[in-house]
Amino acid sequence: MGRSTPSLWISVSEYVERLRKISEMLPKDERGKILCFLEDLESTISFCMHTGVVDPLEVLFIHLIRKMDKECRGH
Amino acid sequence: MREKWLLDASIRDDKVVLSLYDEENHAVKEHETELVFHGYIISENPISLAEEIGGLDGVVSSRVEKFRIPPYYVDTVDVVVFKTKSYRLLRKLLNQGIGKGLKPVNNYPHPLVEALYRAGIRPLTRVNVDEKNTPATVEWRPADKDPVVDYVVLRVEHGYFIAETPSGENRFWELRDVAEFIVSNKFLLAFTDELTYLRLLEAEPSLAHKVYRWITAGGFHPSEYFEWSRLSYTPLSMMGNVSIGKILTTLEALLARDRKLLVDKAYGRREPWRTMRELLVYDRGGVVYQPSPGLYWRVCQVDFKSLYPSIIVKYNISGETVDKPSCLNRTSFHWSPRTVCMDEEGVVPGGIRRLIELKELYDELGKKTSGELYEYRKSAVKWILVASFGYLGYRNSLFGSVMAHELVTSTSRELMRRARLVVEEKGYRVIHAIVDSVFIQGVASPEECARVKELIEEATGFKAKVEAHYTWLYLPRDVKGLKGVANRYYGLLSSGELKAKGIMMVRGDTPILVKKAQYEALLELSKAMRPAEMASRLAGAHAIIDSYVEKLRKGIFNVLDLVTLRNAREGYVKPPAYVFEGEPPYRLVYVSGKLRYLEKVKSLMIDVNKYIELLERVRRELPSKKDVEALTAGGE
Repeated sequence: MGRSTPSLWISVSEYVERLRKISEMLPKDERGKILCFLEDLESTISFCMHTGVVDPLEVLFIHLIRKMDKECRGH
Repeated sequence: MREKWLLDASIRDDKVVLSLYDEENHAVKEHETELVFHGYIISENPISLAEEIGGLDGVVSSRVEKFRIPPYYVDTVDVVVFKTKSYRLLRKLLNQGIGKGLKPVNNYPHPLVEALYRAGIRPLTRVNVDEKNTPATVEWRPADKDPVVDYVVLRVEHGYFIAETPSGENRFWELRDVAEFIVSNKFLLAFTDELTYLRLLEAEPSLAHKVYRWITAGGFHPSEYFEWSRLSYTPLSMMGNVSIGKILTTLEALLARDRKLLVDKAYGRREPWRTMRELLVYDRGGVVYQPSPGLYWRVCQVDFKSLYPSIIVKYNISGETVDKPSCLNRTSFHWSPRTVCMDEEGVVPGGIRRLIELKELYDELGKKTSGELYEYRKSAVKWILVASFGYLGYRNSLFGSVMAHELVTSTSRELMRRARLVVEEKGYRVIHAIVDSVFIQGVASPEECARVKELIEEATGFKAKVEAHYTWLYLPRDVKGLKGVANRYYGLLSSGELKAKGIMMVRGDTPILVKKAQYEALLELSKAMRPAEMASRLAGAHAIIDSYVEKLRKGIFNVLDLVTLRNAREGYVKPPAYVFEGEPPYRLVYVSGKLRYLEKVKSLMIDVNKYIELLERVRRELPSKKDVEALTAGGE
């Protein structure tokens, strides 16, 4: 209800912003991978809305697992 | 014997005066009546106090009754309950009680409301008046009509004063003209907000007496006011400072009085210490997805019917039932650490159970008669139901608690999870969800949409409805053009109509010119019935916006179409500049990028570029070429 906690999207986007800034210093191909990783993050946030998360990093962790699964299937 | 309407009730010279309205000759006759007021006092020596009060002149009776005390209504207290027909005596005794260190309780609702409730006299219902002029109430049925009265509803839209009467709407620009209109018509009731009322009185002081009753709680329709008044036994003359929350609390307090539950603001249901983990996981609102922006084809929107109130009723969620320390029959939930005591129905579910049924009944009656009356009544009931959830977590709520509020949102998130799972199991794709609304892609027809709705009902155990079936639905991007926005969408319904939410066209602060431009552009888009037709229609929509931009550049516009309305509280630090330039309603236009009071501005000074900027924002709410080309975003 936002009484004492920020919204999940805001909490996660702070991490995302830092990730984006860090990625700017990376070589181009690596930067592309970071940006690719962040794609469709909103749907992971949406899933997490149902149960709630303790740490916004949980969302990025779950998203990483989703992405790894897609990567594995791609190969 | 002749039937009249109980239009209003008020206290005058110590007694209750009923305003009886004769529908045939449109006349009001006031009738003094002797209703009984109730007073409640807690004392250390209740028996002797009851005897002392009982012996006073004007007191009808006095006795000691046991009331259960908040927060959990387990323990009891002796309360001296006395009755009197004199309002002055009631106030005097309660004030004297305070002076002697006694504690008056059950101070809510107002004694007049309780007097009407106990006498079974419901405002805005029919009464029979016999030869002796004694009114007897006629039982109210939800299908009954409202009284036919001469009324005016005043509100401000796009800078114009709108005066809505039974014969239609009238638009005025000048306040003086509104005042003259009211003076020249004999209205029985006038409904508006306090600000407009005060400005009207400044323009024409006699207006206060030109209308029988001014109701200044907002420009709502009479049928909405009548419904609130009827349900809460609150007379129209007391509706001026009444909020929806107060109406709800009145309903609950009257129920509490029947159940002998003490109403005392001194008791609160404080939140226990919580772990940070618990707060982060459970202290959240309903599910609101971050949707992927784009164009989606064949979308079904299913909404739960009164989801939060239904959760409250089904799981008996109320301030005193959630986490009750002593309980025989306790329910726990795997989606929340809270527990609910099922020993007895809670005050909140008890208060709103009937309202949920009433809303459904009005819905059915509205469909059968296709009249506006039941729509207004449904809307009135809906507002109370909406408040029933919000008030659970309100710190001054008499019957709520933060824990109860939290359990409702936790339950709603669980139900939405079940809805998503069952829909996706059948091969559909959920593209968006907002609190009690699910958007499902891949549903070919309204009939299939109805079947999806049934699936959701079975999986969750809660009633749902098909809100819409879209041939296509567009979820626009945010202002930065990066992500989707939860509460903004529009689309073409399979019935051929357009539905829009949250976009420029439906926002109250958008100038008429910008609204028109977006509406015309969306009408053009709505001609696309298949993905292949969208590209050409999109080009047409852009051309419409181009034409509006062109007209602005050439100075072909009506200044009044550029007016935007704002209130005086735009920021927390200090009032905006326009507040010092004129009086409300603040009719504003852009000058050098800033909003200025219209009357202070010459048309040449208007900042056309700012309006072009607004039109460009409208353009950004249209699907992009990429959206149209990438049909896979929602491909058929």
